[in-house]
Amino acid sequence: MKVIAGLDIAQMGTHGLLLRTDTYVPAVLGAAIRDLGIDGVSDVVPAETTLLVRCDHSGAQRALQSQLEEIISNYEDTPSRASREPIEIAVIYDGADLAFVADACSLSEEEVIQRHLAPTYVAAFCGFAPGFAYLSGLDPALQLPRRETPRTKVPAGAVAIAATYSAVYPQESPGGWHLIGSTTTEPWDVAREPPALIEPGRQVRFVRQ
Amino acid sequence: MTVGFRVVQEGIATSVQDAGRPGYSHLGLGRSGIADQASAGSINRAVGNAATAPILETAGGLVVECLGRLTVATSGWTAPRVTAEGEQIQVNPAPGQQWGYFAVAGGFRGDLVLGSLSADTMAAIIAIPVNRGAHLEIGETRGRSLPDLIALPPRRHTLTVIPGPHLDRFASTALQMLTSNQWTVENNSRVGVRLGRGRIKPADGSASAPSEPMVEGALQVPPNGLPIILGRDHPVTGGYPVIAVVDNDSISQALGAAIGTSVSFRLG
Repeated sequence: MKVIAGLDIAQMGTHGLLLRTDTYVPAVLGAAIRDLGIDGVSDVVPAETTLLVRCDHSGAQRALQSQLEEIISNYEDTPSRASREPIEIAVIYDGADLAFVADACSLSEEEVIQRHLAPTYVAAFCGFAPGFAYLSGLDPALQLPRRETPRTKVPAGAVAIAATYSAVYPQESPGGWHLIGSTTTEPWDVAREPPALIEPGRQVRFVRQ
Repeated sequence: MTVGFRVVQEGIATSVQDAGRPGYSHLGLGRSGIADQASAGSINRAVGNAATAPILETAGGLVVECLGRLTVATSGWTAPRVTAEGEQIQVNPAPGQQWGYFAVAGGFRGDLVLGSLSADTMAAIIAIPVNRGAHLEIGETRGRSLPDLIALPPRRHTLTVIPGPHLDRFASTALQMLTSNQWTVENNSRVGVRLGRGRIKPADGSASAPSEPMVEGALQVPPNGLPIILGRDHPVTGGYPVIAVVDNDSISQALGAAIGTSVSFRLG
């Protein structure tokens, strides 16, 4: 395998290549690989510092490896495509943990809301549940560990924060994040293509409703 | 529309499965699909279907009533049969197997969910409900090949693995421990196969590593040291270190191994 600076490549089973990087954003790198449309590359899955490329045959692995260098040399941190306008999600700040978050962060509830509204977030990766996007860019003043006791039921549409991320719960599910608001926007719908509203690499803004 | 069957008893962990849903893992939706593709493929082909045509998968106890003369095959049979109207058929895994399969010429039919009829336990997707009393429709039967004998793949208990991406998070003897031990299948679901009778020590603090994308067949080792082989409905990301990954030729054997059977590993 060729050595590419800032990228460590490991085999993940017969079909997978696991790319590890502290230099590049896995979601952005993944979108660039996906855009190549290499025959046999069937899944490109980012996580926090890794990217899995699933190749259905060895030809796809070879094609990917021969094009990786070029992808890296053309790498742009923020893909500047017209279709990549930030998604706006309207939020009512009525979350059950809003007062707790304000208290834990030594801020007023209004300050929590303003700090949550300010940034443009980027979907780092999806996981936990279908359509659950980990949105990076959370104000450091709002970063708290998860709840000590997770809730057994978090309603669909709950807007939440934990660690360095914000997220919208797509379906009712258990959850350990701090709930600060709610939205009627549906992050997941199997009748839609793609079914997820927020894809990895996509920018997101919250607006107050 | 042809109604083919009525479900008399839904059995354990019964679902319709096919090739699954590649292409959505980056959105948090896994690939799902037939757990033991080698067994299901031989049964599907016996009735003239493609290997991954929609098929019933069960951990046992499924009973269906045939509502017409239909060409069917199931685990444990040596050849397909044409059923009589009103005949009831029991579907159970063959000895040593976790999953029993039931195929009908033409496959099962329903409205695709994101390109597949596979039920996905993690995503709560059920394209075709298989509960008691449900009616199951049959798909197109045109253009099929002729029915054939059921050629079940030989059962192998030694699974070939490829060293995993996190070897640096284990003691240097861990891979040797994996391949020299005789493991027992303690539990087997569509999410994963839990092994016992032996432990592998993950490095201290390895449980707090960030989540990484996973594949089916990945041997994850949680802090208790009991490896889990990820199944078709595995979460798309996971935080436990992966010591090895079952290779493509052994994955059906791995996911199809019945609870209580033993498995061992060798490096491919």
